[in-house]
Amino acid sequence: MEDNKKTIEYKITEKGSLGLLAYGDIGLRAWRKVKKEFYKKDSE
Amino acid sequence: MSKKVLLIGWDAADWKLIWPLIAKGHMPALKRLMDRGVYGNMSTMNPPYSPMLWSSVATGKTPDKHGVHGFIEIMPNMKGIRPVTVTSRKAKALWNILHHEGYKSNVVGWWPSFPAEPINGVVVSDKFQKVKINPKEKSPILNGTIHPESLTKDIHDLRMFPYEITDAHILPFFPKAAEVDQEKDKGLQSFAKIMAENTSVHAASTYVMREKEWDFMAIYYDLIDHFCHAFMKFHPPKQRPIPQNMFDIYKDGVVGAYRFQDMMLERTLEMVDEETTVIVMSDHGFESGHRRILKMPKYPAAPALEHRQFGIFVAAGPNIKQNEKVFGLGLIDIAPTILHMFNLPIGKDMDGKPALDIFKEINPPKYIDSWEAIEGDFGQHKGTEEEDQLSDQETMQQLIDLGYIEKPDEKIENAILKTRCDLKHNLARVYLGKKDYEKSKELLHELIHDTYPVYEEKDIEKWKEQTQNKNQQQPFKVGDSIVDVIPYYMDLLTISLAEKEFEKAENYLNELRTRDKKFEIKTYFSEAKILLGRGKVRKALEVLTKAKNNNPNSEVWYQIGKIYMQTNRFEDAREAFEKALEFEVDKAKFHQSLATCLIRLGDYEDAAEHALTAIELVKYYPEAHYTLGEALEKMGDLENAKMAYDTAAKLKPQTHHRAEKAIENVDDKLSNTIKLKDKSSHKYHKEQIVVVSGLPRSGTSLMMQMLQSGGIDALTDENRKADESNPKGYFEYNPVMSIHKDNSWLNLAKDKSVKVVAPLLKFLDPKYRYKIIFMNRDLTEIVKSQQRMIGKDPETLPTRLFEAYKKHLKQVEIWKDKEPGVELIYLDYKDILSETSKSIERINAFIGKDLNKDEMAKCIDKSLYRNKA
Repeated sequence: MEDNKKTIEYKITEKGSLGLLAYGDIGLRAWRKVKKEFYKKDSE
Repeated sequence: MSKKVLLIGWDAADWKLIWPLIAKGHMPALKRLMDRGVYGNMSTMNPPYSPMLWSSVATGKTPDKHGVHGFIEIMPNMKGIRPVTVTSRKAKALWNILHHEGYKSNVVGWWPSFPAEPINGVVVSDKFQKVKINPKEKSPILNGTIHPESLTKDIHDLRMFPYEITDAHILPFFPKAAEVDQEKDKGLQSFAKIMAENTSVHAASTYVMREKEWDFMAIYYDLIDHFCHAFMKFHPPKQRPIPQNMFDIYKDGVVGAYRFQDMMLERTLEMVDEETTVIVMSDHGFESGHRRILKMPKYPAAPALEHRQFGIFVAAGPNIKQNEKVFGLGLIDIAPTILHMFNLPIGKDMDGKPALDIFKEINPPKYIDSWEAIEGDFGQHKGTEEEDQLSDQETMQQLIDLGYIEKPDEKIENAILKTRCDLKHNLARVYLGKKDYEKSKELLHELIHDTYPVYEEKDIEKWKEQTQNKNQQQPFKVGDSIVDVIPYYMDLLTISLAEKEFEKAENYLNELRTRDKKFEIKTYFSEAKILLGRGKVRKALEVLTKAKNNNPNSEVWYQIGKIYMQTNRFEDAREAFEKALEFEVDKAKFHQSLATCLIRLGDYEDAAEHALTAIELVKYYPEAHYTLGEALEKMGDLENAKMAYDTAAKLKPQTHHRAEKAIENVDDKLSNTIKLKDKSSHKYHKEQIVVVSGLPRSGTSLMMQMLQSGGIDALTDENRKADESNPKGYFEYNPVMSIHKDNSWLNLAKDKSVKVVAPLLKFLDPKYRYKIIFMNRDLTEIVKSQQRMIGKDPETLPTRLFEAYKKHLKQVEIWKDKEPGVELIYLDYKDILSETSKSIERINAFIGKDLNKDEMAKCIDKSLYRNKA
């Protein structure tokens, strides 16, 4: 069923979103990745 | 049969909240699922405690059989207590059975599921999402949290922590969150914890759905339940005691939880194909209207008071009907239904039944005696785990915060004792719910007769030291028993009322009032029931009216309506039931009672409608099916009436005598075109009982004599000898006088005649067929004759007696109309004397037997009448 979905561009911010949490493991991991990058940059 | 089954549990989800959200397009995923499947109510069980309920869902059994009796359990080494674990469950869950049959299951978050059982598939137990709130404290994943253990490294990062919650998560729920004073108000902390835990469950579930093969998958979310406990008090409409600023901040919390749950569902459904059967269900509903409770009372069993009887059920899949409403589902039906989907046999020892109504194609279900008796590998634990790993302070604290359990006593032996009592009490309540009063009483008697230690001065000191909130009222005083026995007495009171043991009930009520002086307000139902049981109708009505004036609510109106029904005040009863429905429109018993009342008022169409609504709410409701049958029969729709009676007869655990008689009647009507007059037929029923009735001195003894002469033996003990008033004898039978207490002797009256005075007719056992010959005589003549018999002036007619007799005659009319086993003709005393042959013909035709008419005629002594009259 996933194949039939349109691809949607989605910008993930370090604050995340409910949509990402609702997306499950992939959403949670994607958010944490962005968050990690963000704070890494922030501390540099 | 479908290839895969996905079961999703939403604790406490309630249609009352869902319907408006669906109407606004705010729960699109659930709506789509409903559109391609079936939906309906899910009936909960008593006591409505989630670990007990979800274990019933998983096993198809009630808690007395599956063994999970509460939120906490005593450790096997008896050294402490802990949140309930899967080790309490003694019955096999669906995934154990599927394991044995070679299927793969994934189970995520189920309550209880820790320690994870070694099944074919994956178990992410309910311990997985429980993490420490303080980011500085470590939250290791304990052994037993995940099966297989090797999966831990793949999903350990899928736990979300409350401190990770950001304003991007908070603001969609609470746009004014910035106004919260987090020092004083812990609302956002609760929010963060609930969101983090449910996100963890969801992330683990999506991972195993994608990465692991499965035939059956079960996911449990407590999001809605925990949001409701935390924020329902702020849900609109605003309740007066809620401060405006708090309302403004938190009012959208509950709705937000439903919407977020739907977002998660959307994602889950993306990962299954249309060949998968999906079930979304909840274990109970949650009060969202005027019955919301702002301050939990001490009794009974808070906080389950906020739980509503009906949860939700939605199912869709290749063999599931489309866009249909289904009725009468219970939590215990889920496991048998899913076993049936896998074409596996259902244990006969399961309490539930497969919900065959939901299927397009119905295959006959297969049965075995019990899955428990089958030996082999069911993926269960073999021994007990190390106890110290199972103790969990964080989880215990959450249960306390939610109000599910009291803060455990600091003294561990006291905590163990209280837990033991709680679990025993919960089991007693399970038996009470199953109407197994004997077992329930046995446990409750043990609980009230046990001796318990009492609080001492040092306990008070310790409580004061540990209590942070100095304004909190001290919950106990020196000398108080550490185990509160009041809830046990309350259940004993309920049982004694159900068993009509009114003396015992009164004792329990007094006991309760002695133990708690504040009790009086809350016990008016019991008091009214005791008064009713003792025939003090007016007094009972007074008690309820007072209660209604103090605090009008649905239940008090309902009880008032029931009293009006008993006293044949049908217009008043209708008004009371309608008032009850104004307060609570989805209560099946209110609709059922209103339906019964409307039949008595001759409004059959509305009666049928309310009976149908009651059935819509609770399918397994024999009385409502019976009432529907009655209404349809009165409307002349005999075919459908028969179907309704049939259903009532099938549903009733014991024989539904009235339904059986009604079915015979409808069959007779369908096969005969005879117009029934006086609700009498001309058919002899095997073992029928001929009852001669009427008011005293209306000619009943004469009729008994005639029947005996005609060939029908009279059931009489001849204790009362013939006298001047009745020279041919009274034909009385002493046990008739106490028929209201014991009607078992009616067995002796089969194929005989017996004399029963009019006011006692209502106590006839509906399991027999009755031919009632009701003697009519001019009321003035009757009263004069009675006056003469007791030596009073026959010309002075007592008005009250006159009115009372009129009332009795009216009651007979109502009673014969509603009793399907009763056929009745009225015979006039005067007609028997003046038109003897015609009257005898009528009697013979009515009884359906060939009686000796000549002998019957010889009984008439016209001079007797002349003398008396």
